[in-house]
Amino acid sequence: MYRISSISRRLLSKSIASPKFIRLNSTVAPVRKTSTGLTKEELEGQEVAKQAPNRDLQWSNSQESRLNVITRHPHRFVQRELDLQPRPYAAIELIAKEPIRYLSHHDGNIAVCDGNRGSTLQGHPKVYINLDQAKAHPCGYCGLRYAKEEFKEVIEAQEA
Amino acid sequence: MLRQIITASVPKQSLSIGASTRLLSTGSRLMKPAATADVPQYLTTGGSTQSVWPKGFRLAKPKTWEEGSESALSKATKFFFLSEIARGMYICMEMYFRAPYTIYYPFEKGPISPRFRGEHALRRYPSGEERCIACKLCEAICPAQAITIEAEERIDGSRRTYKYDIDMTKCIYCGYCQESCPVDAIVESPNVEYTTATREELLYNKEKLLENGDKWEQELQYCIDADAPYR
Repeated sequence: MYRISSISRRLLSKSIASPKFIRLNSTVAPVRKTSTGLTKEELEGQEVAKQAPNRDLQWSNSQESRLNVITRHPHRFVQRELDLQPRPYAAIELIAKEPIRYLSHHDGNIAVCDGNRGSTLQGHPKVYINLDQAKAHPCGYCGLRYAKEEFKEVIEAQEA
Repeated sequence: MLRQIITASVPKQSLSIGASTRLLSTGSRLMKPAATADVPQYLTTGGSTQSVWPKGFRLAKPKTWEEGSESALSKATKFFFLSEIARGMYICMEMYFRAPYTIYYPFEKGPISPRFRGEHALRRYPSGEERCIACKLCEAICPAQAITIEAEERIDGSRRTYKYDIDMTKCIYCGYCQESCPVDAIVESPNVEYTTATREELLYNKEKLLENGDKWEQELQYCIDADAPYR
């Protein structure tokens, strides 16, 4: 009894998330799925470790993955339901589903985007986007993509 | 006669028949800026008509027994008929028949302003894209320095934050972040019920703020609509 407690204390001081510590504890009490004590391998396939409900991996280079956050800082999740941690939808996937707005020849080569400010008072500063290049031009504020109608085939061929 | 007895404590100049006389406590006195009446008092308030005391706002000092011109008979009548007691009892009875002020808090809530500043939230466009473009104006203006933002190009090329932290224990709820935001991304929702068991839970990150925004979007929209005529 004394030996086990001394070993666990030594391991605790070294690293709380080391797999050795988990194995030692698992002989005493079964690993609970809702709190600390989950190894990276155990968490890897689970829904709670995915970055967002509609995306598995992170969308920015410096962004830390949820899997790393949970396994590297287990003390933050003591007695926490991992299912209930905030996990909003990833905007990068939602905006990718938004279709490209094609401007006909009559509209000219400059798109105007104000984030629908006129009807809702909740848009963004109005921006004018030059559409001369044969690609989709996203609005810097709201991410809606604009292109000229004559480049439609080129853009759709690139996306496919 | 009875009326004179009951209203005898009102200063004598306002005893003349008019809107300013007050019989018992029925009906509230009309609180009206004095400048709207014929008395031109607005010159004493720097030209503003709004900062004038309403008429009858300050009551005159009650006269003591030696200052008053009340006759001994009148005083004795008031004393023996217990008129002050009767007035107090009347107010008691009036309150008894009024609706209670109490509300059953978790189920009923008092009215709040559409500009109420509560828990923070990050909003989205109807397309689902985050509004925040990491201009860092809120971080710059925050007097408590509670906001931390790190920005980076997202994989699809748009400029967004990868870190947006608010320390809710530092925040003083001044609303400057909301005012400074050019795209109405960071807002203060009407929610005040976000107590936590530990301090760490009050260190909000971007996930928490975005989820708040998704949860409170309808209420935020009500607030914006209610406030739109004044913006």
